[in-house]
Formats: sequence, C-alpha cells, structure tokens
Amino acid sequence: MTEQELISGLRNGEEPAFRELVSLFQDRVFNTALGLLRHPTEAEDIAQEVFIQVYRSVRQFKGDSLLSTWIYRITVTKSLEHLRSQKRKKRFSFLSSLFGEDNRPIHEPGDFDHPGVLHEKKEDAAILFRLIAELPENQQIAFVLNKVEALSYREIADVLTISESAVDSLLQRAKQNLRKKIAALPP
Amino acid sequence: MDMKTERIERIMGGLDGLQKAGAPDFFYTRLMGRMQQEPERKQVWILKPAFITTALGVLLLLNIFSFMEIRSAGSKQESRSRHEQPAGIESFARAYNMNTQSLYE
Repeated sequence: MTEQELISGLRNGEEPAFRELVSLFQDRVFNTALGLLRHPTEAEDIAQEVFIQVYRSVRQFKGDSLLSTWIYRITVTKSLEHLRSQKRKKRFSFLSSLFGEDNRPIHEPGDFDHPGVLHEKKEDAAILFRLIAELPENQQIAFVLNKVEALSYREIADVLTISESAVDSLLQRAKQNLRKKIAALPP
Repeated sequence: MDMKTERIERIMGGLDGLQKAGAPDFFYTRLMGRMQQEPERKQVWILKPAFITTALGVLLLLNIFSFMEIRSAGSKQESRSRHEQPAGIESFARAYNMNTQSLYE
C-alpha cells in the first residue's frame, strides 16, 4: 500500500488502512513517546492517543509533509502536553498535600530503564535520561529524536519546522548543557 | 583525559548502541478497545479556554466600567446636593410654611 493509498483509505474510514498505519508506525510512536516521557505505561497511553488523533483528523492532513513527519509531530505535541500537565499537577499537589486526584500519589518518574539500552550502559543511560528531562523542551525533543529515535537532522527539522542548522544548534546546546549537568553531579 | 572528563564522556555515551523500543504486545487490540470505549468527543465551543478567558475579561471590564460610572455619578450628585442643599431646605420650609421664625411666633 502506498502512502497515498493509505491516506485515502484512512480518509474513507477503512479499518484495514488504519490497521496498516498502526502496524507501520506503532513502534516509532511508542519509542518517541517513551524517550520523552520515560515511563512505558504513559508512553503506551500517549501512543494510543496519537493514533486516535490521526484517525480523527486525517481529513485535515494536507499532505504538505510526509505522513511520518505529521505523526511524529503529533507524538511530540501529545508527549509535551502530558509532561506539562504532570508539572501542573505536581505544582498543585504542593497545595493539596502529598496526594493527587483520587488520593493517588502523583507519578514521580524515577530512574528510567529503557529496554533498548546496552546492558553495560544501563546506569549511565539512566543518569542521562534524568538529565535530558531537565533540558529546555526544544533541546529535549531534538536530542530524543536524534539519539533515541535515530532521526536525521533533516527529519528533525521537518518535525520541528525549523532549519537543519537550527537543529544542529539545538543539539550542540543540548550536549553542552548535559555536559555541564554531568560535571555538577556528585562523584 | 582526566577522570572528570572521562566520566562526562562515558555518561554522554550512555545511549550509544541503543535499540529502539517496540510497542507492547496487543497494542492494536488495546487501541481498538479504547476507541470503542471513547466515542468522539465534540468540543463544545463555550467550554474552550479562549472563550472562557475572553468572557471573564469582558465581565471584569464591565464591572470596572460600572463601578467607575457609579462612583463618578455619586460624586457628581454629592457635589450638586452640597450646592443645592440650602436652597432645597429653604424651598421645603417655604412650601410647608416651616420657616424658623414661625416656631416662636
């Protein structure tokens, strides 16, 4: 099935087209969300929301970018929205004691263990993921798309609708900040 | 390379050779289940944050405007009544034949 056939099938609400789309993109969407959220259950939840959004708004997809770029964009946006809402909840939880809604403790991501990390690098990767979360949003996205999802500068530039040189500068700044943060860690 | 730089570079390389994570098993089944459970929510325009903020802003402006109007009207009336009071009392006394002298007559 070509991309055009896939899009037209989705626009007609055909189930096989949707199944094909999910099977083509589920790993990419999940891996990107996982890199940004550092929590498998939340990443799956966001990945589901991404496909629901794609299904419901595919008629608005003008086709001026690749389908994959559009889906990555939705994934990044949804993941960031989720992170922001978590931050908001955390701020409010300060006022409403240690418990969140329904008296459940608000999820505090601890050290994240990505399933694809090499065994001997697990400890370093956990530290790195923790520090990536402290970076400004744009640097975080660029770094995760490059290092976790292995996208090229061109692909990242398309997702973020910026130039390739802007991506390069974002990644350089991200690396600089990470180095500073690592240097400031206790030995 | 000193120990500190070595440590920085080692941690920076923590994601080297990373394998991409795959979506969990039965992802599609769970997705379909969720789609059937959650019917498409039509966004009610009146509940959109932009509308709510604008409406609150308009209400606030109306409140400030009415408050200022009431205050200025009040101060105008007060100054007018301050000027008109003697004449008002005199005319009242005249109308009811209640001038001060009449009490001692």
